[in-house]
Amino acid sequence: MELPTIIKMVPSVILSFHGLLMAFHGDICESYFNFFKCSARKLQHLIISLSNAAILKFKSILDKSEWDVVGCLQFRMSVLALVIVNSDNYPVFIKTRHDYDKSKMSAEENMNILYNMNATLDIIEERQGQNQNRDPYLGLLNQCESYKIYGLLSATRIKILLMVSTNVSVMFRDSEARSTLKQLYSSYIDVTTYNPFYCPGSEVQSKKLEELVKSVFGLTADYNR
Amino acid sequence: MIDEVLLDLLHIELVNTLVTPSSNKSELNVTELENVGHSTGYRLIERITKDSHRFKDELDIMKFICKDFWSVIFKKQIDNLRTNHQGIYVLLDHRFRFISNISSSKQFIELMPKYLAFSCGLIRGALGNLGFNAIVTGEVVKPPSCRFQVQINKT
Repeated sequence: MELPTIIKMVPSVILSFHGLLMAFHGDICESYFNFFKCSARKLQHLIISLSNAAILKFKSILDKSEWDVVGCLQFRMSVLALVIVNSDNYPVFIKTRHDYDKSKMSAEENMNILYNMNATLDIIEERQGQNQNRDPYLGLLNQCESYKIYGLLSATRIKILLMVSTNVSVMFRDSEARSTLKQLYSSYIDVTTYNPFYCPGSEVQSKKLEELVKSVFGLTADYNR
Repeated sequence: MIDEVLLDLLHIELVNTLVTPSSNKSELNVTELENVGHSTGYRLIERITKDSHRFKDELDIMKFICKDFWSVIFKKQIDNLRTNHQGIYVLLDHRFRFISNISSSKQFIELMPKYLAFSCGLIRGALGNLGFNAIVTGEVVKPPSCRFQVQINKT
């Protein structure tokens, strides 16, 4: 099918085509193409097969020009563990890749990861005393050859730690870690403040947070911020 | 924007329901109302500090409570903050909203303290979540002006 005929077909296709044209200017498109190994012809079929809602979503992702879809995806595929620790240093939420897929990670590895997360809390404690940089996002805290740990420390001393594997040959960008942590923090606040049944200091149980965490681990295809 | 009158009405009902006469006739039991304030303040500060930076020190936190925290609840800031730099802070509000609706003369002055308990709890809860154990007391100086004394316990 020729491109002009497609454009005539439905307004939503024009919309998505517009989104794609816009993307041509950015570097997103290039990486996007590389990632899906799309030829122009394949892309046309892709546009047609996308549902209306999907196109809108697709467009909204492309519009956020600084939002790198591929980078985000790769970042999230390599997340190993996530821990939320409350102000009294009590772990209120722990998830590792082991919980989702036992084949990807052994139990010993899992223990080792949690041990490293625990050790990172000391680094946070150190940072807490420093006054120069008071941004909640702490950046890279701990690093060895197989993993990196990023952290966030809020004004109310809630700590969120994110462990990312370095085995995948990708240069992780700081911005992905930052936006992921901010997103988790905001969701955590929603759970602890709006849920009337939540008792401060207890473990967090929330479907919404679980969903978000699943997408952080790259298990669901939702990259909305 | 939520209409301010809602909080006023809700607060009046809170006071009516939760403040009970204690065994000692002359005093009122405001513990429960204070606890309601505490848990409200505890959750509220979590939301307000969501996008703000971490605090430098105690004074920084008190300033935040006088400005941002107070504005969120009462749509005005605390008028005066004094401290002895040893953990005692005095917050002065020249026109405290919960009192200004009652009277600006000394007519009901003996009934007014129970209208401060909730706000004392709010401050205590906010400080609690930020890691400080505090004792907060409120008194009506000259209606509608109020004074809150915050004493931070160092542990």
